Amino acid sequence: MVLHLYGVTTADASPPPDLKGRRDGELRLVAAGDLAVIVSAVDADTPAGRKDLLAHAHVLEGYAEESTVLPMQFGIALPDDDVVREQVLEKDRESLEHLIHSFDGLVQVTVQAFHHEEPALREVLRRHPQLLAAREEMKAFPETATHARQVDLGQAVASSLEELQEEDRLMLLDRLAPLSRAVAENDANGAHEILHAAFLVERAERGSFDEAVGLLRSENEERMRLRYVGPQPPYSFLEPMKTGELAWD
Amino acid sequence: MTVTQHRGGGGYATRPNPSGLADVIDTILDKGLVIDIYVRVSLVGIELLTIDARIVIASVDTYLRFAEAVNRMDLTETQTSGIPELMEDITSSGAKGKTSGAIEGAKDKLTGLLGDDEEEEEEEKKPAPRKSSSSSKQSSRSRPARKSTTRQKQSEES
Repeated sequence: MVLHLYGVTTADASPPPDLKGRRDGELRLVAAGDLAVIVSAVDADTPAGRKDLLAHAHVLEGYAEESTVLPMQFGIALPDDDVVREQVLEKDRESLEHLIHSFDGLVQVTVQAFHHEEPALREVLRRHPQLLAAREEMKAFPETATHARQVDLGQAVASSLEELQEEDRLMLLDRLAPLSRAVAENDANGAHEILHAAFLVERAERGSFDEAVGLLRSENEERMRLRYVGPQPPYSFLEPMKTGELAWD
Repeated sequence: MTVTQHRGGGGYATRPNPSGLADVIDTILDKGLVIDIYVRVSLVGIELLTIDARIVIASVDTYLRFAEAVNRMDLTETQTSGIPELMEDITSSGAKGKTSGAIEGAKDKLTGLLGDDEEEEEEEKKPAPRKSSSSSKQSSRSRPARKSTTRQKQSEES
């Protein structure tokens, strides 16, 4: 057996009831001073499957409900408590203390927004009547005769769609960013993803953020779908905080 | 557009959901503390996978798909009718089949790697191809760089 490491938290953190680790392992803290590592025992040769990845993420999210947690990347295991203290807590104590202190009272939530294709395209055509005209013009010809123009039309549609996505992205950020301490955006994936952003939110203010997301969802349900994930440990803000790009007292 | 507001009641509060598999690629596989000396559990292929999952295919096929979607759109219809038909047309179109094939290939790999996969989330099933690659003349109007940009409230306000 080895110890799978989930993350670093404060020594007084208590696990949410019923929370289990990988392969239903019992969670416990390996503490040194006021810091502790969340661990559970697993067989050394346990393969990493989808359930293991989700278990790791859900343990961190469980602790993040009430405690400050610094996530560890998936896939780190050490032989015993002494090595955990030495390799994780003692080696980097100063940096860990700085991070725990900086993220005190803060959680990450993630918002993704996706356009519904049909209403988005309809809006594009409404704004750009010339696209509609191009489409009508081509209808007189067999499809094989208009291949190049079809490509041009599609390209123009894709371009206008991106403008609409950008507009909606800024609208969402305008509404959500003021409710957060910091924002980290990921690259959008897929043709209809508008926004993929992590927000660092004060735990005490989560209700306001929840409400803002709910309201945006309701106001824009015809054109877009919102995914809302959290509370998470501050994944997207660890690095900027380490480098000093992000800083506060 | 049907927008009903009763803001004072807090009727829109919505709890966030726990992470799904799509999220772990951006979180625990990509970010987090690491230590110098450690025993990695067997994760063959995961790093490859995170790259594959981000692959975005853009090509002529993408544009043809959009053109087709627009061509089939009947603007005289009411807003609700016709949508299922349109969506069906788009999903069954050859153009889409080709471009999304590569993405689904990566997806299959993910499924294969991570074992049983019966309850995928909705958006994971249809990562439609996205916008221009450098080979197209419209790459210059792609969005400003957005990769993990962070900013603080303080700096926004100043």
